[in-house]
Amino acid sequence: MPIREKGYYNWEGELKASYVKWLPIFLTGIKGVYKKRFSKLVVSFFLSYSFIFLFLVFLSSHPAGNFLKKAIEVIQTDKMLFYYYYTYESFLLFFMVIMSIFAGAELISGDLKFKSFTLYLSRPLSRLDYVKGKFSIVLFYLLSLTLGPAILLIIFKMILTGSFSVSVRVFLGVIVFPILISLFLASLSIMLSSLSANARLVKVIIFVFYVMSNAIARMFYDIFKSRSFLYISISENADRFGEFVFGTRRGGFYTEGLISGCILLGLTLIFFAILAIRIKRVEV
Amino acid sequence: MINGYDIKTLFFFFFKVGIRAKRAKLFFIVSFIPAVIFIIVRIVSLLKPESHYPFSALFLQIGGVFYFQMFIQFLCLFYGSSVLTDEVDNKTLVYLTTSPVSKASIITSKFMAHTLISAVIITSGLLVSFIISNFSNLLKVVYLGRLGVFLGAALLAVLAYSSLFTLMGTFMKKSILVGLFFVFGWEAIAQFLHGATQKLTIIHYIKSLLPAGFPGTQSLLVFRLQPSSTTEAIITLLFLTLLFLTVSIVIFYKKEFTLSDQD
Amino acid sequence: MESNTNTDTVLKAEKLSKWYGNILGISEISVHVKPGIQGLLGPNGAGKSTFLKIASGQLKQNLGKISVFGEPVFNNHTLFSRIGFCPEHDSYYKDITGWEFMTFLAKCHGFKGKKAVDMAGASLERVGMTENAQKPISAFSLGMRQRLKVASSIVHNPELLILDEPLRGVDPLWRVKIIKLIKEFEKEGKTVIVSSHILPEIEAMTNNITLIHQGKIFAHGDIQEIRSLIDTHPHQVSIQCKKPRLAAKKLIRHDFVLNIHFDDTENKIVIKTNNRESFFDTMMKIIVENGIEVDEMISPDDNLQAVFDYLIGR
Repeated sequence: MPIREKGYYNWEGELKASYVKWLPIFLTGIKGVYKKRFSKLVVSFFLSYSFIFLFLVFLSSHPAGNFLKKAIEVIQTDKMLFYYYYTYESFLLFFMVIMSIFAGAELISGDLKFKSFTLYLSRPLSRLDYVKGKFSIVLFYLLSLTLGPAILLIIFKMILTGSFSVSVRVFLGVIVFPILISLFLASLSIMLSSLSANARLVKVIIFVFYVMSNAIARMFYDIFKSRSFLYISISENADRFGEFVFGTRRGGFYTEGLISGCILLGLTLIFFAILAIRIKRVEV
Repeated sequence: MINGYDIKTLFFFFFKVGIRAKRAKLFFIVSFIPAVIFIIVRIVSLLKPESHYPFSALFLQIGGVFYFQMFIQFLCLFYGSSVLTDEVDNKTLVYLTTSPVSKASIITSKFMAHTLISAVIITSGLLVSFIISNFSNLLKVVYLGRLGVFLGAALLAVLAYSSLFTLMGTFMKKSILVGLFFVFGWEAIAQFLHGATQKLTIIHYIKSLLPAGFPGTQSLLVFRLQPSSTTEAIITLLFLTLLFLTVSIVIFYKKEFTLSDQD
Repeated sequence: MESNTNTDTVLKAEKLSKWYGNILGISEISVHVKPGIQGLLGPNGAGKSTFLKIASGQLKQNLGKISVFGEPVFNNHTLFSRIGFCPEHDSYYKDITGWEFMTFLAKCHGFKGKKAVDMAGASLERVGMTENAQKPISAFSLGMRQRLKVASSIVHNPELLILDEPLRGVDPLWRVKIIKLIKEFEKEGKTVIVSSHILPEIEAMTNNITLIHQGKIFAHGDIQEIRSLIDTHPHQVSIQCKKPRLAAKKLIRHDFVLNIHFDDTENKIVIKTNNRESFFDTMMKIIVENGIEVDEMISPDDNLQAVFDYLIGR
C-alpha cells in the first residue's frame, strides 16, 4: 500500500553544536530557584543589608546624616566602606550561607532522589557539564546578591560624592572577595548536595558546617589562646581575607589574610574533588 | 484516640528505622566533637605539664555551648521536623493513614521515637565529654549532681525543641529554614534583650536550669540577665512540649497531604 | 454500623467534587459500589487517583458526600480495619526488609504476636514474595515493590480493597496472577475497586466499569450495556467465511445493515449495523439456511477501547 502522506519532512537546515552545553541547566535552575516559595523573602533579606549601606553612603553626603556620625566616619574611606560591607559581624556571610542552602541544597540531592541523572546524561552532556550547570546556579545567586549591590554601591558613591575615581586595590577587592567566598560556599553546598538524596539533611549539614567551624575554632582558641586555631573558622577566614584584600590592617603585609584566602581556596578545590568523585560514581 | 498498643508498635518500628539510618551514625560522630577536643587537651596537658587547663570550666564553656546552644537545636530541628515531613516526602504516609491507627497515635509515637533517638545521641556525647573533662572529680557527689543537671536539662531541651519543630514540620513544608531563623536569628537576638522578651525563647528556660558556674570558675551564661526559677523553667518546658504536640495533632487532623512530587 | 448484606452498597459517593487550587480534580462524581469488582478506567490525569484517595480517606472532598460501609471516611481511622488500600506511588521505607514491613502493618491493624506474623506471611505468600521477604526493600525491583504494596493492602483481610494501578511495573506472569488474585477476592465476597489506564487489564478483571475522563464520569455499568447504548456509533462485525458475497447479498436487504465493506484477500466482510441483536439473529438464520461455512466472526469495536474512544469523542 503506497504511503500517501509521509507525515514528516526532511529538515534541510544545519545542526549547530551548542557552545555552552550546560547553559540550559543553568537557565532552568535560575528560574527554578526564583520560583521557590520563599525566594523573594530570602532575596529581600539579602538586599535589605545592602540598602542599609546605601543609606549610610547617602547620609555621608548629606548634612542631616550627622546623627549617625560615628557609623559614617567608619565608612568614609572606600576600603573601610567595602570591608565593613562584606565582613561586618559576618552578616553578609550569614545571608550567603542561607542563600547557598536555599539555592544549592536541592540541586543535586533532588536529582538523586528522583533518579534524574539519566535525563541529563542521556543527552550530549558530560558529567562535567552537569556539574558546571548546577554550580553556576548557586554562584549566580551569590554573586548577584553580593557583587551586584557592591557595584551599585560604587556607582552610587561616585554619583553622590562627585568623585569618579576609585582605588584599583579597592575595586579589585570588591570583585575578588565575593568571588572567592561565593566559590567556596557554592562548592560546599553543591558537594554536600551530591552526598545525600535527603535535601533537608543537606540543608542542616551546610548550616552545621558553617556554625561548627566557628564554634570549634573558638573552643580551641579559648583553650590554647592561639590565633592559629581561628583558621578553622569560616567567618574568621573571611574576615582576615577581607582585611588582606582591602588593606585595612595596619603594619605591613598581612600574612594571615593571605593564608586565610589560600585556606578558602584550598577547601574549595577539595570540595570540587569530592564532588567530582561523587558524580563519577553515580549510576545512570 | 490514643491507643497504647498502636503507640508501642509505631514507636518501636520508627525507632528501629531511625537508629539504623546513616544520618544517625553521622550525628553520633558529631556529638563526640567536644569529647575529642577534651582528649586533645588532655594529651597536650600530659605533654606539657606546665600548662594548666581548667577542665571543669572548659566543660561549661565548650561542652555547654556546643550542646545547649548548637547541637541540640540542630538535631531536634532535623528529627523534629522530619516526624511528618519524612513520611510526606517519601510518600509513606499513606501506609499509616490507611491503617486503623489514629493520627494522634501516629504523631505521638513518631515524636517519641525521634526524641529518643535525639536524646540517645546527645546524652551519649554529653556523658562522654563530661567524664573526660571531669575525670579526676567523678567520685565527688557535687560533680555527679552537676552531670544529672546537665542530662536533665538536655532531655528537657530535646523535648521542647523537638515538639516545636514537629509543629513546624506539620504546618509548613520549608520548616528547616524557618527553624534555623528561629534558633540562630530570633533566639540569638532575644538573649541580648531585657525583660520578658527573653521568655519568648526556649533557650532562656534551658539556661535557667543550667548551673551558673562551678565554684571559682567563669560563668558560661554571661548573657543571661533574668533567669527563671528552676520550677518555672521545668513546668514551662513541659507545658510547651505538650502544647506544641497537641497543636501538631490538631493540624494533622485538619490538613490533607496530597503526596505529590511537587514541592 | 449497618449490616452489610451482599447487595448492600459498600461505597456511596454523591456529587463528589475536589479541586487543587485552580485545578479541577473531579467534578460531581456520583457512584454506588456494590460487592464485586468495580473497574475504574480513564487516561492519566482523569481523576481516578483523586477519587480513590477520597474514598480511602487520604483527601477530603470540597463538595459532596462519600461514605464507606455507611460511615464517613476522612479522619475515621477505625474504618480502615475493613479497608485495604494499594497506593499509586512507588513508596517504601528504606533500611527495612519486606518481612519487617509486613509484620509492622499487620500489627498496625491490631494483630498481635504470632497472629501478626502469620497474617504477614500469608499476604506475602499470596503475592509470591515469601522468598524475597528477608531482603531490604531498597533491593527490590519495581515489580517486587508493587507486589509488596498489593500484599500490604490485603494483610488484614479487608472487606473492601481499593487498588490504584496495582499492575504497574509488574511482569506479565505476575500480572496474570494478580488479576486471578483479584478475582479470588470477588469470590470471597469482598468488594474491589481497581483503577487503571490500561484497557486490557480492566477488561480481564471485570465487566463492571466506570469510565472517567477530565474529572467526570462518562459512563458506568456493564461494558456491553454501555456499548449498546451508544446509538450514534454503529457496531462493526467482521465475518470471515467461504461465501462472503452470498452472505452480504442476504444481509444488505435489511434496514439495520448500514454498510458492508469487502476484503477479498481474506474472504472477509465487515458489516456496520445499528441493531446488534437483530443483526445476530438474522445472521444465524442466513448461515444455517444457506449452508455458509464461517471461519471467524468478531466484533472489532466491541471492547473497552472502542467504547472509550466513542465516549470521549476521538
